[in-house]
Amino acid sequence: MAKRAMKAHQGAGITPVEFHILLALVDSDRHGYGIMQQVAGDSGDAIQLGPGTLYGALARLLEYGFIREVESGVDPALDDSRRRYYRLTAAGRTAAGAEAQRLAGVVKLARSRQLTLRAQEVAAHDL
Amino acid sequence: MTSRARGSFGARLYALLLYLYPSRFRREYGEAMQQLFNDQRRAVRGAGGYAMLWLKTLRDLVLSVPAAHSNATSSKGAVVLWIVVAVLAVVFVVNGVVLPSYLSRVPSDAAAAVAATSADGPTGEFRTVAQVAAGLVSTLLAFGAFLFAVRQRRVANGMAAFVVGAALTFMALAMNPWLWLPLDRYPAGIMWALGVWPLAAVAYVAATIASRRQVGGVG
Repeated sequence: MAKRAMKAHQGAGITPVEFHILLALVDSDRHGYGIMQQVAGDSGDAIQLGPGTLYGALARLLEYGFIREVESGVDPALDDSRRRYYRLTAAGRTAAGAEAQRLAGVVKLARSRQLTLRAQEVAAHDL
Repeated sequence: MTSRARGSFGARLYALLLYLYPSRFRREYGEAMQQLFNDQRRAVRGAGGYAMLWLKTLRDLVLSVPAAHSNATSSKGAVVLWIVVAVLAVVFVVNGVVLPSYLSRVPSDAAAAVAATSADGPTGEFRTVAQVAAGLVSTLLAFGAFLFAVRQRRVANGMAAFVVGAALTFMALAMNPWLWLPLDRYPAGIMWALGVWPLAAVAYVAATIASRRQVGGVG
C-alpha cells in the first residue's frame, strides 16, 4: 500500500472511481448503496458502480487509510437491515483535495492552450 | 435485507456468482455486496429494468473479479502449494528417473518380463490408472501455480512461482498418458512447457490490466 498511498497523498495515485467515492463522502457518512447513488448523481450517470467495483475500491481506500468504517446502522428509507457506513478520514480529505487541485491544474492548462475554444472551432468547422 | 429479496431467484443467483471472488474478499464484503444488489433490484421497474440490471451486474463481475484476484494474496495457499509440489516432484523423480535406471541394471530376462507385464498385464493397467491420476493432479497443480504466480505482488515471488509452474507443466506433460512425452524428448518438453507459460501469463496480465483500467475509469 505504501508507495501508492504516498502517490495518492500527492494527488497522483487515485483512480477516477476512488476520487468520486471520496467526493461522495465529503459531506456525510454513507453506506454502499448511498455512495453508489451519490457517485451516479455527481457524475451525471457517467459512473455507475456495480457491487464488485464499489467494494473493490472501498477495500483499497480502507487499506490506504483514506476512509474508515463507522458504526453500522439502519437506513429506514431502504429496509430494516443493518448497513456498514463509511467516513472520510483526514488523509482521505487531503488526497481528494490534492487530486482536485491536480485536475484543476489540468483544466487550467487546457484553457491556457485554448483547447475548449479549438474544440468548438473544430465542431463548427465540421458542421 | 428482506426475506423476499433474500429468497428470490436473482438474489440466490447473485449469491452463487459471489463465489467467483477470492474467499477473503467474499468473506469481508460478500454480505454487503448482496445487500447492494438487492437494493438495486428493488429500485428497478419492469422486465426491461431487470434485464438492464443483470447486464450491468455481469459487466461489473467481468471487470471486478480479475482485479479482486490480482489484489488477493494467499500465504496459506502458497505453503500448501509448495508442499504438494515437493511431494509431486519426488514422485516424478522416482517414476521418471530412479525406476528406469534401476530397470536398466536388472538382468535382461527379468527386464523383459517386467516390460511384458507392465505393457499388458495387471501391472500395466494399474500403471495407466496411476498415470491418469498423476496427470490430472499435475495439470491442476500447474494451473494453480500459474494463478498463484500472476497473483503475486512481489516480482521475486511471482518469478519463483512461475519457474515452479513451468516445471509442473512439464511434469504434467510427461505424466499424462494422452500427452506422453518419451524420456528421450525431455528437452522438447521443457521448451514446450517454458514456452506456454509466458504466453498464458502475458494474456492473463493483459486482461487484468485492461480490467483494472476499466474499473479505475468508469465502473
